Amino acid sequence: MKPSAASVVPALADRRHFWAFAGGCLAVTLGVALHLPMFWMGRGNGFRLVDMPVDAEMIWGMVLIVAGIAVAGYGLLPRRPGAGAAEPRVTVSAPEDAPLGRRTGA
Amino acid sequence: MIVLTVALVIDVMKPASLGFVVPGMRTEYEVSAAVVAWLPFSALCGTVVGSVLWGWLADLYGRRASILLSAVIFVGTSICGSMPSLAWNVGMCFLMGAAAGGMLPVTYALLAETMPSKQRGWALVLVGGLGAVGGYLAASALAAWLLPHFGWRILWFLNLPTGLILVFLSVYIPESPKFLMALGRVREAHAVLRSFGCTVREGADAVVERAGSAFGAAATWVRAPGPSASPRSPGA
Repeated sequence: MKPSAASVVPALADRRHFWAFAGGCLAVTLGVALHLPMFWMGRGNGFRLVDMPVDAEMIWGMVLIVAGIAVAGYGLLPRRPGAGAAEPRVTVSAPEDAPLGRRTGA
Repeated sequence: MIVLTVALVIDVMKPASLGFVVPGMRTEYEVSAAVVAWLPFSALCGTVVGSVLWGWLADLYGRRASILLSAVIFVGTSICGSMPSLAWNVGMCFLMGAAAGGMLPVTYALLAETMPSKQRGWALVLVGGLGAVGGYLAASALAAWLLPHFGWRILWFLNLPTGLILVFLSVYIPESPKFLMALGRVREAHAVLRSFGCTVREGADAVVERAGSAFGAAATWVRAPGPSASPRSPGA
């Protein structure tokens, strides 16, 4: 894929705590993974889990998911703008006649 | 535009999956159609609540980050597949709907802020249409493939790979220049616009940048120097 706007303002470099977001993602993934043994346990009876107990792994998985989402949300908070950066008189809008499918200008 | 379409496909996949999940649930939980209807009802209620909530969060976090965060929550709610009772499933479905509800309005907001107004109508309809068709197609294909082997629960666990795919693909989603400008991050907004192929022309009254965007679209950035310099500067 061509370099795009996303690579100019790197994906999460403008966030306060990128590693918190990455850690949160990992925790959520791990939390979901902790539920998979319960799902797999049901393979003998057509994956029917009705009335199965919620075991400790699932509880810890849910804790990891909730904590992971909170940490990821914290990590994604944008950095505060620098002093003097605010420019209230600036507007951004799209022109009426811009062609699609090709770049204009440099 | 392709990545945003993928985001919509993943979003639409969930309500589309409900149709394939409900018969299996009815059999397993031995409930009537009226009782199992709470599942799609809660999912759609979650989507409505999520749409409102994420609209507000998108102004705080940014368009791209909101899509990312909703994808992370979406991954988390895939545990709906291992819940042992209908009540758990209904609760999880509400949360899943709230997470997926974030992608829909924010994706459209991002598109609308980047597409030129002349092309905006058909582009939004095209992306929305492809997202809907793709979502139903993907949900149907995956249900036909996986359901006979792993039961209805696997369709919820699919949120894990699809949500993670979206997290990784978000690298290719540009942040809205409008949002960056609103935060006062003029330099970064400038960088986004420039990456779309901007030329900068400085005049006596205004700086105008024309940009053919990564979506093949274009944007104009008008920077007015004074209170009455440009009619396009409502804040002046």
